[in-house]
Amino acid sequence: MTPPLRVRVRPYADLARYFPGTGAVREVDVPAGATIQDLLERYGVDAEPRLTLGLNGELAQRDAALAAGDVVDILVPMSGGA
Amino acid sequence: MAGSAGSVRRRILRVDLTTGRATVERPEPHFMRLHMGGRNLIAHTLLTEVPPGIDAFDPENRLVFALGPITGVSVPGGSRHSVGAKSPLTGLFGESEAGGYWGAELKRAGWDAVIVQGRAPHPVYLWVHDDEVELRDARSLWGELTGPVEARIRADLGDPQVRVAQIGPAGENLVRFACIVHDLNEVAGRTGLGAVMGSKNLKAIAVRGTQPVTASDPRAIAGVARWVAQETLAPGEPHHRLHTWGTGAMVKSKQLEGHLVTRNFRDGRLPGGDQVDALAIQELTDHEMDRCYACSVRCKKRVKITRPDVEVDPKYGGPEYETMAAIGPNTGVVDVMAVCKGHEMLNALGMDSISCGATIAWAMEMVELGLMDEHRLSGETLRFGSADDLLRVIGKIASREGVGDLLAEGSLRAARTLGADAEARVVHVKGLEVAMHDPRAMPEMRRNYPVTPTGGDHTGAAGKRSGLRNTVGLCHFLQYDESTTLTLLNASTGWDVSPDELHATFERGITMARLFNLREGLKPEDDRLPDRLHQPVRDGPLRDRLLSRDTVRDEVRAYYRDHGWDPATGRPYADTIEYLGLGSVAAAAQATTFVAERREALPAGRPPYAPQPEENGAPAE
Ligand code: SF4
Repeated sequence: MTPPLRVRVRPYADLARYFPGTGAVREVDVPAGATIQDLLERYGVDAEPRLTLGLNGELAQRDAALAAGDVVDILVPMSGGA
Repeated sequence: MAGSAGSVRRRILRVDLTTGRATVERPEPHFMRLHMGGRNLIAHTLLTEVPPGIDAFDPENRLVFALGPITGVSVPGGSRHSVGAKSPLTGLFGESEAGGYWGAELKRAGWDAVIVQGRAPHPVYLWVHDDEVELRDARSLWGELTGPVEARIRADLGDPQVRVAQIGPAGENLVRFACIVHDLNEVAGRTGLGAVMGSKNLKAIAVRGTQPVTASDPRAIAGVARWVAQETLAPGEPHHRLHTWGTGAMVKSKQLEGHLVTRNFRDGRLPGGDQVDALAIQELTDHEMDRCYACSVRCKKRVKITRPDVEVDPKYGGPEYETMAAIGPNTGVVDVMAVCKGHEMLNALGMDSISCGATIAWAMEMVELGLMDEHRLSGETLRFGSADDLLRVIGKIASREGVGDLLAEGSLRAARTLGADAEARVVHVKGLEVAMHDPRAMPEMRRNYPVTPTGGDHTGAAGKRSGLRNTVGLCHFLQYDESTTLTLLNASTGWDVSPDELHATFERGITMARLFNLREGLKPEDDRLPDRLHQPVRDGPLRDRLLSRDTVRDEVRAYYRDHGWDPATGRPYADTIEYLGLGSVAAAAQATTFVAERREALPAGRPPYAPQPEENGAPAE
């Protein structure tokens, strides 16, 4: 059996509530071959209507495959402002 | 249950600073319902009272502080008002909104609007205490920063609860993007209204009111207020997010998506640029959240910094997103402390952060390209990314010292003294520096900026949602749908406005602003985006995306058509003017020559505009 992948997630602002642990960076395990979408589903974040995703600092889509040590940014649209 | 009370006073205060006389006007109920307030009342006043073609600093220009019918009602978001005049920056329709407490206080004093005309022989401030109106000597306040002025006016009047709208030194010095500062942190920022106030020798309007604003149907109002309060407590809801972080929490996603406004809209992302955001401010500064009148969302930052190298006074609030971007990544600056300091300076000196930041960013690019010579720089350094340069030049612009004198004219006027290469790099629409949302990535802004009557303005008067918020006096951030807005309007005023009438109110506002602009010389080719926004950003995921001029031109024409204007010339059709009840306004304004005739008559009973126009304007979140 292929061992799970450990990736680092940076959930922005109140998205932190979906992930175990504390702090700005959360380490989580996902099955080998998992995509960002799999990660989102596993933690229930896919219910959020609009997300901006980053993989290792670059804009990413949900079908991007994950590798061990990847850093995943998960952001929601927030207020604009005057 | 509708009662006899209502939130409209039907009283407009007119102050002629040349003669020193104040008069009370009592418009007919029909007039108040037709024009309501905010942008609509401003557009009506400018059209019917400002002589065509005058300079914005002519005493005959009007400065209008217009509340909305909801302003002052105790409901979240019911704090907004607008200020308007012919703009010294664009020479066109000038208007900008503010929240805070000042508008609600003016309503409590018994007024729907203040119209200022003329020019005082020496600096004065206006004191409005319910029905008592007085012009007081402000010579000793001239030249002072906004913070000390508010304190001195309150001491002078012996009442710490007086609310003050004022200009800073920038307005006195006729900086063309000077703003009007309310409660030290709520600015009517755009289009240079502070300079108009300065040209009239009016330092401030201090207000105190003691008459409660009673809604016609308080239960309906309370129901909406309860819903907002509940949402504010629910994690994941927009009101909760706004409550927790305020504005400026989407900088990181802009950076990732590649449309962070960077170095005069040139780049698209910037190393460290995403550090200038609301979360960083929360983490790095001593801050708390404050609110506007009656608002449970409490999204207003108050930032305090006490460090050996930088101190920031929380009485000036804290930077909102536009300020963070305009004097942050747009000037290449990623030091969040410097951005907080810059915000404090802008509110103390009384300047619009968007136009000021954008003008400095443009100047930095000119220096980088060698298009601004030593003589014009007069010893100043202006380097992208230098917080020291940024803060120093903010001060020089307000005092019009050295290169600050040139930049105080705004980026377009300054560029015209340098030549075509410099002008081609100004990011403006109609002379107003474009706000910090990039239309190359945001379709709603792409549709909005070219047609907004004030120019490159993100609050989106061009769109129905934001146009109506402005007119009725409601904050854009509240997640009210159109039916809730209508409920609030009727429950506040006791009127029975229908969805169609509300829609017509919006159309009336933009059509009057259009007529004013046409009369003042606007051409259809001015409804465009600047060259820079038709070039791709230099870095990031959007570096290959080109926004075509055809796309923008087609959308502008569609906008004209949807609003009952001639798609070729942008002139309102005669049947639109008639349908909206604006025939006498157009005649009084000497604007009938700017009205077009439709080639084919409309089918009977059909309104001359689209029933649901495409939404332009401020993003809902
Ligand atoms: S949402 Fe924020 S800006 Fe709007 S009224 Fe409430 S506190 Fe003021």
